[in-house]
Amino acid sequence: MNGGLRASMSWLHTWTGLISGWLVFAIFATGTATVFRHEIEAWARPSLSANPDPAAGLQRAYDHLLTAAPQATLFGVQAPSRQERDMQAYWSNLDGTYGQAELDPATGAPVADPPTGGGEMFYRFHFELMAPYPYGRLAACLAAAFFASAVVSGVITHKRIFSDFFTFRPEKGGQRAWLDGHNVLGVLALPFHLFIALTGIITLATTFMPFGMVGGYGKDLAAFYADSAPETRGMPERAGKPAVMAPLGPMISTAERQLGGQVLRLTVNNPGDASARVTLHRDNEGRLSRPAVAAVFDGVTGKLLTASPPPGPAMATNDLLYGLHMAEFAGPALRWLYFFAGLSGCGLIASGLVLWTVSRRRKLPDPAKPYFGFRLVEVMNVGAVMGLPLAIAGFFWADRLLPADLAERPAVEGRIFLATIAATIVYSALRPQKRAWTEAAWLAAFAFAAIPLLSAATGGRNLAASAAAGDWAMVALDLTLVALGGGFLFMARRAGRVAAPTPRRAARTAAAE
Amino acid sequence: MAAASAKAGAAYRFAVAWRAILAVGANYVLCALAATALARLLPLAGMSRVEAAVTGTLVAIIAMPVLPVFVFAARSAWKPTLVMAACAALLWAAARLAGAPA
Repeated sequence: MNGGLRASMSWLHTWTGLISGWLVFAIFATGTATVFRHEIEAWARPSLSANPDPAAGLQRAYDHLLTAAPQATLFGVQAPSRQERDMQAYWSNLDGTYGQAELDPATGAPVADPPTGGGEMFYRFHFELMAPYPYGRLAACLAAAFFASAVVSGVITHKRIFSDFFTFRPEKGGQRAWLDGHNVLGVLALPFHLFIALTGIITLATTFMPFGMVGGYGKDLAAFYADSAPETRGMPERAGKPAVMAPLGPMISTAERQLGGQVLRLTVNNPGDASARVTLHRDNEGRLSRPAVAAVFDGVTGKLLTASPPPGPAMATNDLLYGLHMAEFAGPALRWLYFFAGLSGCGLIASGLVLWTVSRRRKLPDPAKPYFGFRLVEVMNVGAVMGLPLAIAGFFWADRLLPADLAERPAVEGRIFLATIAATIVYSALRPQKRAWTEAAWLAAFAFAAIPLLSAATGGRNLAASAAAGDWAMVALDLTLVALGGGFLFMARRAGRVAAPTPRRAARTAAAE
Repeated sequence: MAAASAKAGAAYRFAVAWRAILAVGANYVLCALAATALARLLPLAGMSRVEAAVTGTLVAIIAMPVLPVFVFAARSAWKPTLVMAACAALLWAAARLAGAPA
């Protein structure tokens, strides 16, 4: 605000970062977990086996829904992809009611495991924050816009950005070490942080920035959606004449030839009616962009009616940016890269938040009695940075420990998730700051590292059995949870040491200064 | 607010509040107007309606995080205020004149 450009950018960086920091941390933490959401879904549904056949699964779901939801005017199924082991099905009925189920690709029937939010819970929290529509999504977009501004102003602040990248001086301790760490994490995955924030907003563009759509289409938004997916045009009205549906197999082969990829999603309009339409959507594996490319068939004759035309340049750009955020194209190596980039984003935000307090603590008139704003930031830092990991671990515990026949079980898991964050904030307010960090880190270390044991002991996924069966995705998930526990153990020991400096360390620090 | 106490005074606080309003509120309005204007003007240049709507949206979303940098980098708050007001007026007029595409 005063002085030169860097001073004003530093001010902007500090305040945009602080205002959005806790929310952005929550979004980054759950987004990082979402990278492996299909593995988490599979972990929470131990009856599902690995590597289901998508085409056979779709056929079974199609047959199941035609008989199980005879009153449906529309139903859709998402087939298992490379990582998924279940199928999400939804339908809407003649009387205006809706239904949804998780289907087992091996049988086409609902999954035998108790209902759970699975990885879906983290995915939805990541952009809806468990708040009512559209407020959660708007808050997530606003936080992302603040974060993107903080990244841009942060880059301008650090004129020595390149040399800072090779500078990490943990031995200097205190503010310098935190700043070095913040810079390393920020620069290391800088393009990722910026693009993930911007593409995140793009995935919610119709909610957050609807004015392009409204400007071009006025009140007729249905026309916008029809133009965005031209193959959905001209769906006929229900004829009211029952008809026998064509088999799915030949339609899938035709669609796969036409669309040049594996069919992973199907939508049926007016099932069991003479006007039935079957829409088959291609997968996005191996493709950066995420177009909903589809072929539409007459559901009774099985004849191909129309297929998506190639998108125009703007739509193709939009699809590319959307696809980069969702990373459906990514194989295992790239998904690990997204995971680690997400972790580095969490570290970046956490270190930035801590830095705000570290750089101000020295200037406090009486460190024992900080002013309200300072104490608020301290409490919320522990609440967000430790509350989110504890809540994520808490989901795994809740999923294993809640009774199988509990009513609204997924919703209870969600409430436990939120309650864990709230409890961490309260705990942090009641404890001295450094004790709160240390104790929460010990708890997180235990909560993550013990998940594989808890799971094996309660009849869930079992590390030894997964390894014996060659189910490496579940082995990797268990080991990742243990590794996260190890990370928090390191953090707890580190924070504990800072809390109570040994005389030798104190002397060394004094000598260095 | 350490920075504020260093430069204590109602004028400083008002300047910060004003720039915050520009960076958040005016920024959003300007981006919304840009999206609207592009969605309406580009079809006149032969772009399809859906392409124009998506182009406007993408431009707005990419501009939004950058505008606060200009708002806070300016030496005087007058400059971003006037520039943003002028751009908003131009975009509003253009969108108004073009009207919704058929």
